[in-house]
Amino acid sequence: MPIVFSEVGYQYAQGLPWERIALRNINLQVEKNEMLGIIGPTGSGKTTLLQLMNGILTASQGQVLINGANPANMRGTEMTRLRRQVGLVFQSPEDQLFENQVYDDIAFGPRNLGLTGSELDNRVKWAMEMLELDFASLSERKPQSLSGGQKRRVAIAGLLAIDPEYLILDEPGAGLDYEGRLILLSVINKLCRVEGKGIVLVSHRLQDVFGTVDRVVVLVDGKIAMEGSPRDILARGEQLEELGIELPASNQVLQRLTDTMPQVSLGMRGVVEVAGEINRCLRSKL
Amino acid sequence: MEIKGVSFSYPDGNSVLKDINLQIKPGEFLVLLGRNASGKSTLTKLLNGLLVPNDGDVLVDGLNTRDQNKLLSVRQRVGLLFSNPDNQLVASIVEEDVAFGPENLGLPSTEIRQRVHAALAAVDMEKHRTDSLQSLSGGQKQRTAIAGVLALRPRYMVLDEPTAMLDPLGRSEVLKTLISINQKEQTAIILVTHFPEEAVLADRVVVMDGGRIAWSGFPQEVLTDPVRLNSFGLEAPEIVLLARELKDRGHNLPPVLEIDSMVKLIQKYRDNLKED
Ligand SMILES: Nc1ncnc2c1ncn2[C@@H]1O[C@H](COP(=O)(O)OP(=O)(O)OP(=O)(O)O)[C@@H](O)[C@H]1O
Ligand SMILES: Nc1ncnc2c1ncn2[C@@H]1O[C@H](COP(=O)(O)OP(=O)(O)OP(=O)(O)O)[C@@H](O)[C@H]1O
Ligand SMILES: [Mg+2]
Ligand SMILES: [Mg+2]
Repeated sequence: MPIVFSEVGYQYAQGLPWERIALRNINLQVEKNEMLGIIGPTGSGKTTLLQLMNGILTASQGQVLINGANPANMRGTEMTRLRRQVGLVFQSPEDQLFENQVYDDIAFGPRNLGLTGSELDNRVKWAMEMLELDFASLSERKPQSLSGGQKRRVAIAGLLAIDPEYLILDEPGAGLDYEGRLILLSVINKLCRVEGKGIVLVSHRLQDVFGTVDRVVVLVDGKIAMEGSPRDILARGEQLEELGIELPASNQVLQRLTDTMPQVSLGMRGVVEVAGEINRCLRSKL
Repeated sequence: MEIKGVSFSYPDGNSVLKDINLQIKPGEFLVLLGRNASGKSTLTKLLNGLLVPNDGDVLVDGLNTRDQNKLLSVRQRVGLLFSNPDNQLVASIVEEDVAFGPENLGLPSTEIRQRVHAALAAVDMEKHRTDSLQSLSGGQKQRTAIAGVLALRPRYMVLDEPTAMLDPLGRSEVLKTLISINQKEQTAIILVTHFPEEAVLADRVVVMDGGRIAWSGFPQEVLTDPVRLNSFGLEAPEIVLLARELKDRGHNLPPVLEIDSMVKLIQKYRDNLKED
């Protein structure tokens, strides 16, 4: 069952003089087995949108339905179940790490699910392994004393350990090094393709988004400004730039080459494809 | 700024920095790269005396960070921005937060107002001047924190992943701001980042690995060597990767680091092909 937004609007401080409109008229559907990417300038409403997906926020207008149920009407136990189905990694990992040991932080979710003993142990070890966190040296460390990238990995491991149906990731790559990002992208790819999870990825690393997801939503000023496959969106680079979104460097090169090489195709996903396209044009001396 | 034979372990015994030697000249723009947990943030905290080395010394304009009496002068010279803005922001309103540092320096109020204004303009946050901090998005908070350090006008600005939460445009704006401060005010910039392209305009790139300085050189040298970068868990800028892919396809272009130069190179290369 999908996550469905119908005509959703959201205002912070609704009704107060300093009310701020964060989202308007959002229609959107996220399915399992699918990876959706959300991009947009700072303040465009991405975090707000994600927090509506697991009931941290509830819609001011319109309706959000998660597996057919509306979080606005949910009480305690239902809400707990929702958080289990739709797991969110916060933009700042610090907002998520509050236990005294890395182990307990990652174990927090599965403990609430009733896991104990070796079952719990295995779940924590598995999640740490997925993110290449060394169990022996890190499981007893204080999360607050970890490096930025280590904190980020622990926060993501905590989400994996809950084993939700949907994984909602708010800037999960921020603070991760190159290898960490490769691990993250391969983990979510596997969770979606092999285990059929639904993935929602918000990231300012556009190359990571375009290279990974099936569908991209572009948010600008709280509204959906564009929607399509990564290739569709990349092919409309000029429109993106007008919306205040900078293309990945190699796509910018391609875009700029069209001035003198109008036959260049733009919808290229990643450096390898861009190089292939430039090569094609050079070889045919276009 | 001189870092001489510095080693550092945290109280839990975790040995993190090993024999670091580094000199940073006034007005220099230095970028620090390195994989997760390689010791970058720890090093930044040693630069303003927040942490003190176990061995060796950190000298800021000749002031030793071990010297408690000099700590205030050290902190005035070295502005430090943490990677998480939530650890940095102290007031509840944007402009109050930016004014906090200059107020602590005891500056006259006209001077404070002018600095706050300039700092907010530099990070494009003037329209959020009177907003409450908790109403800001992640990127807006980060910009506010950067403005707070800018308003201190330190001689050395140490920034730990200031762009991690920004959108690409925000990232280029912040980088432009830092470079213009560096050039106009001769403020030294020490920038920690996981974005290799932010090192393109640096005077020097320093790569850390396992608590040591593993490599140091000009951007043109360090950033154009994807294989060696990979060996330290790092990636080359996308433009360099594009050049390498083109080379693999038989198009040998000289190494460049910027989009503009890359476009011009390809155009010229194509014109030459056409003439052949
Ligand atoms: N708690 C809050 N109270 C009032 N306004 C808020 C609050 N949180 C966010 N906003 C405002 O709502 C808008 C959308 O914020 P949101 O955090 O969803 O943006 P975002 O797209 O995630 O940005 P970023 O890329 O910087 O993280 C922004 O204008 C922001 O200032
Ligand atoms: N307060 C602390 N107590 C104990 N160990 C610490 C503390 N802070 C950091 N460390 C450890 O020191 C090492 C270096 O951490 P540091 O934060 O300097 O790395 P970094 O290069 O900034 O990494 P990242 O890219 O992930 O931010 C890591 O192994 C980390 O776990
Ligand atoms: Mg956000
Ligand atoms: Mg760090």
